Amino acid sequence: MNKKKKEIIALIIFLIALISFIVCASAITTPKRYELGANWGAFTEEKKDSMDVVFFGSSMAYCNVIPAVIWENNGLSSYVMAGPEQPLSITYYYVKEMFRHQSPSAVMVEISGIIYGQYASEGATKANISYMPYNINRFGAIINGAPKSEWLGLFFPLYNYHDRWNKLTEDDYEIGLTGYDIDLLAGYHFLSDNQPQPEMRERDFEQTEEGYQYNLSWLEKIAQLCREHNCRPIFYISASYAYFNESYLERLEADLANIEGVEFINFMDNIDEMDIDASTDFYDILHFNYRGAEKFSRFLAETIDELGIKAQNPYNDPQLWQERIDHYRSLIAQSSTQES
Amino acid sequence: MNFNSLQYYLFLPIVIVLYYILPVKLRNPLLLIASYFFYMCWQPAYALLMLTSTAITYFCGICISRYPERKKIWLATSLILNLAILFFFKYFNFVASLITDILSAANLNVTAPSLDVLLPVGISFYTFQALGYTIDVYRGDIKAEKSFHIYALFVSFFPQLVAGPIERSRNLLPQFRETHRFSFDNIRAGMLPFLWGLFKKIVIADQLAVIVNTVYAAPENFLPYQLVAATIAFAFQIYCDFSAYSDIARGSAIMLGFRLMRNFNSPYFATSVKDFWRRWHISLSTWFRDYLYFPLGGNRCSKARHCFNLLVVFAVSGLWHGAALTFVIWGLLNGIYQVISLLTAPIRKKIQTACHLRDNNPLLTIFRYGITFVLICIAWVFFRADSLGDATYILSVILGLVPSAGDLGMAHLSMGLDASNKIMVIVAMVVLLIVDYLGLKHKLAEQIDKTIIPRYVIYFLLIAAILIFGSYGVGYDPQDFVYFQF
Repeated sequence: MNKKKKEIIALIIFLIALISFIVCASAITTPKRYELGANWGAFTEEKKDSMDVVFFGSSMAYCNVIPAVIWENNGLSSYVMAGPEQPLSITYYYVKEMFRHQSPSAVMVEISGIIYGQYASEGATKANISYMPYNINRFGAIINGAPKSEWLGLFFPLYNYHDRWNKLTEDDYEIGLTGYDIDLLAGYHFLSDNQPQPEMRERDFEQTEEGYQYNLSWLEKIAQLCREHNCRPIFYISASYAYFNESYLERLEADLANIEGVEFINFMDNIDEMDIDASTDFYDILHFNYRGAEKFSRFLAETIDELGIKAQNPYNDPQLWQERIDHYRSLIAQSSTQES
Repeated sequence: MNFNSLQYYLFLPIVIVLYYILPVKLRNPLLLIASYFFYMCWQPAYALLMLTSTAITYFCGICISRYPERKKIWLATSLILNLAILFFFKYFNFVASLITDILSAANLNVTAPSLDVLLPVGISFYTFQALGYTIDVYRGDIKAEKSFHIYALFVSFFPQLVAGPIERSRNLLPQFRETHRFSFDNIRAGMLPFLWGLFKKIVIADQLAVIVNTVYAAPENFLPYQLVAATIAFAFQIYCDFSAYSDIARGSAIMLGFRLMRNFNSPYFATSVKDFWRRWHISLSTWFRDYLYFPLGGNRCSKARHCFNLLVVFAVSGLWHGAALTFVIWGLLNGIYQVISLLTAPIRKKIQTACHLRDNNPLLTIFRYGITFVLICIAWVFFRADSLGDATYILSVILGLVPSAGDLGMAHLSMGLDASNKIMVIVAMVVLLIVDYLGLKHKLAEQIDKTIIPRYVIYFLLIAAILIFGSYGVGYDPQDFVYFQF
């Protein structure tokens, strides 16, 4: 072999080794995510095409929806793939990425994010994007959902996290190299603290017309994406103790009615039917604790049933779902023990 | 645009690609535009200053060559105008405050006016490079460059523009007339100094800067051993920082087909202060040697005059580095070391002979490395300290002349860097010393370049170390190269 050939082979091996190193080092040094949504590592471990419904949105999705309770009620397999303070632009790429792994009958998007600005806080942006699989959807989420000053760290995770080299744990190496386990809460974030809510309050926010139209355009794109995948786009506002201004809501409903195929549900209208107890069921004004979330999820299961979405996925794994229910119940038991 | 910035990692490949795909006649204009763009990323307005300096030296060079009978006048014109610009931007405030202090000491409360101007990046470097050219033309060592854009490129060539090496006209100018064909060998050969420079800057210098900045910002809070540690840290910081710039400059130039001079040669393996200055900032040392020390008479004169020449050269060298008394004292101290060395040479020789120690005795060599390093570190205290008062305080505490006011509180114990980063940086410094030591006897870069597997393994290790241990990214403030301020 002449020197030129050797040089080319060495260069190729070098580049492969370098890329492998960067991929592994990025996976190891990125902080591991076990809660508060956005855990794509666990989501991609789910059996392909095994979900009937996937929930999206912000913390009002992952704190208020318990997939195990929905399964318990109507045998429907669901998952919450939401992220903190998530702008709807990132939600769009979440939905798009989800379709690479699952083919649900319906996508349910908690759309309180319609009032958010173009970008979330730096920490929330990192959480929402850093755990997405490294592909075109992640790039889309970065370009549309993060300010330019944060792009570098999101494209190249070592930029954000390499200084964790001296704080790495066994989990960092194990999960970084072999991947996450399945999330037994299916994207739900268990909250047990209780903050009694004395009264319902109007949501306080400022939004420009441009900001509203921008967010609405992402909802249109999500609806279009769902249509392309023969999936029902159901947009909803979660029950909570903060309500939207009536005129804002009327306008939103009217605008959503103009988007082809979109079904809209405002669960604030049904909060009395859910048996919610304001003194025991809230973590804060926007989020239920597990008691409230369970009541809301049961109501959600009934609503899904009424919408005619049936458990028809042939790849459901009843054993796994039973494990999920047991895990959820064990968390409640632990929480009750701690409370007493 | 720092060498350790994303902009430069994009800028360099773009320039390299354009350079090789453009027709030969467009390559120098491309480099000139790229060089001015590179410079204007700092202070766009000061590009005019560089252009002025370029125009003056170009014009004087042409006049020296055309009117040899008046060449002294043109040389003087070039020297006076360029040094006046340098004085105005770099030394005016220093001299003004010095005059104010002197008048105040004489009970005359007069405040000399000061200027609110930013020091143009790299002004000392390009001014000296341009002056070197004028002197070379004056001496007849080279012909005056007729093409303005080639000469402007010689002054502004981006790899070495901001912090050297200060290139000689006879080395760099002819290279702009060469045709550089694309060669993978050049890219490969440039990668090694480029990566080694980045490693020294990002992994060693910027980590050490944390310790140095913490301790030197408030030396009164630290114990003597911490002041010693911070001073040693600074010795390595400035070496890694400055030599890194030169290495990255050389690497970048090599990729474009240009050869820049080597600016450092294992300086902490010097066996004397004189030897240190043969190995440290070689392009500046040789500039002063050729354009100041030799014209003053060098060592071909009386011993007293020789000592005087040394002190003048080193005082000027100190002043070149910065407009502050600390730099002048740093320079003078290095001159004094050499004067003492010169005066005590016969006695030291006698002691060595009496002890039957040969020059190549390993223990003697190690002893010399140690003594030289200690002397250089003492001088570095003046170079780094924020004021003359701080420098004398640090040295007094280290030497036990005054008690330390520092305590061992947790906040001060770490000196700003946690234990794991300290261990990492010490390991990196050991690697650096091993490489420098091997470099004393071998042409390491050339030997590595001839191999295949070891070369790629070294590339890989350097990149991996930079990516994991480097000071970059969120939470880091990319440190400017120290020599930018000169």
